[in-house]
Amino acid sequence: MESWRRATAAFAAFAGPTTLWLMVFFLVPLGIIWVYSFGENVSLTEIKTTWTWSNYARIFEPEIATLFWRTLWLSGIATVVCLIVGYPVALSIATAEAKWKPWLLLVIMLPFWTNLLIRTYAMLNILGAQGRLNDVIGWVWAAGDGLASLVGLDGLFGERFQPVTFLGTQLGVVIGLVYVQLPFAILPLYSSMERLDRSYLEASMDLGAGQFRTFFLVLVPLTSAGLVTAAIITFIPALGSFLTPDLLGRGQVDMIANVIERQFKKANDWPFGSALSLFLLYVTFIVLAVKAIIDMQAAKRRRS
Amino acid sequence: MSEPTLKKRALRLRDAKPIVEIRNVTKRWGSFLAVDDISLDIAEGEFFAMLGPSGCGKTTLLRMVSGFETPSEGEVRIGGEDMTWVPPNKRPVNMVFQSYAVFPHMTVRKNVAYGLEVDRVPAAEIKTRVDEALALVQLSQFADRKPDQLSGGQRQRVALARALVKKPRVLLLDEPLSALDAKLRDAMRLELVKLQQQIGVTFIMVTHDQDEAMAVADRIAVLHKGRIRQVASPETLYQRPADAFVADFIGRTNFFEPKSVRRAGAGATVETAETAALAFDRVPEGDITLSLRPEKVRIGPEAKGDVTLQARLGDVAFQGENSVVELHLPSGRAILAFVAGDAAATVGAMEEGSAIPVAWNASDMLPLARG
Ligand SMILES: Nc1ncnc2c1ncn2[C@@H]1O[C@H](COP(=O)(O)OP(=O)(O)OP(=O)(O)O)[C@@H](O)[C@H]1O
Ligand SMILES: [Mg+2]
Repeated sequence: MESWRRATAAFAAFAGPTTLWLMVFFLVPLGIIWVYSFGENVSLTEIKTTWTWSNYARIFEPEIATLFWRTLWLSGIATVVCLIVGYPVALSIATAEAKWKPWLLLVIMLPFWTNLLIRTYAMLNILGAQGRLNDVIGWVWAAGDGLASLVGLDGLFGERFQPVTFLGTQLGVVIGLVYVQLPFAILPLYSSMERLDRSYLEASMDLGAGQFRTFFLVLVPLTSAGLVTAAIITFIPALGSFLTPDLLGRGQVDMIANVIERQFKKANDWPFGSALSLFLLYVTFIVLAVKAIIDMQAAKRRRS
Repeated sequence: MSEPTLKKRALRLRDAKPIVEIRNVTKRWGSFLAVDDISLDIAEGEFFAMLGPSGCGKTTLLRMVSGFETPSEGEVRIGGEDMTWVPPNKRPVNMVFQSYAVFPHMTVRKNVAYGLEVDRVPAAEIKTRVDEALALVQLSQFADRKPDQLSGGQRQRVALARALVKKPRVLLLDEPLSALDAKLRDAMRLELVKLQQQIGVTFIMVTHDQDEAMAVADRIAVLHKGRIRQVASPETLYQRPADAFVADFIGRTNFFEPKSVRRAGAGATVETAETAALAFDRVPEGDITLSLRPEKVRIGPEAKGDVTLQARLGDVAFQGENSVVELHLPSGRAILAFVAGDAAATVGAMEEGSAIPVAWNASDMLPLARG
């Protein structure tokens, strides 16, 4: 690692363009946003930097604070669901026969090849009042209703089938978030299971534990690193979701990104939008910092 | 152990009833035969080794005893009961894994207690049994450490304690020493033998290292391509190998190809390029070869025997008290001889290529079926 010091010119030649790219397209815009966040609108098109904190103060007004909590809450629920649903899926891929694994992983990654917008419109079709999901629920209802009438319990499940409302509800948004984030949860879980030495599980069985206890006492603790990574990789992008709440929430279940977008467009309040964006960034940093601290403590516990 | 106690032990084991009975067990992976119709009885209290080259099916056979694989055909009985379809967590056997598989997220004490906790043994009893087991493997002062603060040898002893604390009827060990360095390996061999004698539990160990098997086991099964070649004590394997494969695999040996074999009843007269016609009382059927152990070859001016030849000296390798000497016979065949003491010094002083008398007794040549 010392050699780059000696070959400074070569190092600069390789690292220079990347650094320049990051500076121009990442740090500079971020700096501009940062300056805006301390500014005030003086006219329709003009922002004056007055170094005011008022944009940040507005975040803590009940209306926006509630939105932030909702964002955290919906992302949190979606993350938990992704972990619970993703864990068995990852496990079955990790324990599948070697020749099937690449195909199963391909199926998991297939959605990445389709644009998010298109996939979200597909979800609209599935979750709508006359959507595919309601078709399925309708069949189940009809079957249940038929059975109930057979045993003389007419109308046990209500007079007529009422379609479940998904669109414009928190449930619909969570389903959408889970749908988008699930592959991101499965991949780190799968890789932590794939790396795990099979003989730990066999040792547990050999010592008398059944499948159930082997799962909770050995498999889950030994894949906890994968669980943390999966949680973070699901939670952070979910926090910034825009399209899912926009389309599936029908403007009734806004998350923070929807509010930010409105500031830059309809509300034309760039300073407040900038403050919100940066605040979201800080929340993300806090989440990552918490993970770093957990990692450090785990490492320390192992050493002590 | 002295000779008489060894004899007594061998006799006692011969009369003990079998604890593990493997009956015509076959295991196929697709069309590949990993284990091919093996039958074995392992006596209660025995230290049994399964020995064979890589891929011969040792691990597969052991895993069918532990319950991690099920035979394609045949039956595995443990303690007189059919266990062929019983899952591993319900068998009275425990295993020491090649990688040890000591749980990294638990302390040494937790690891050892694990098997008792899942059996819902009362806490007080767990404590005493865990303490006993840790003392047995001399790990008491490491009880509160995590596995990554232990050396390889200590981790292996955790794996041993964890298996033994369950009081298994049979302890299975899959290449337990292969992850240790040479010195520690030798020390652990002795410890394993002592431990086995102290607790009297049946040990079945898998290894590809013939020295290791010879050093620890009461009996050894030599496997090759999924089949058993011979099951016998280490001495018998060395002195009366069943065929050329076993002779070659156990220790080192020289083979002499016969020029002609004239059979008469069970015996035959065999002629080789190096020897005149030699008569043997018992000669196996089919294609044969003659095996001569290197330590039976005498060299130097005083060398005596009923076969005498003039050879040229090849490479000489010093190996502790023995030297391994390569000899080129007039027929063009090269053989190995082990020489010790003064003879080693004499040979060491000679130049490569110089003439040297070689002799051995025809009775030391064993006619064996070619493996
Ligand atoms: N799960 C499996 N699927 C297919 N083939 C297998 C499987 N397990 C083992 N085999 C094959 O069965 C044969 C015997 O394997 P086994 O692991 O018993 O060998 P071994 O004698 O223990 O060898 P080593 O000394 O290398 O551990 C090998 O050829 C191996 O490739
Ligand atoms: Mg093996």
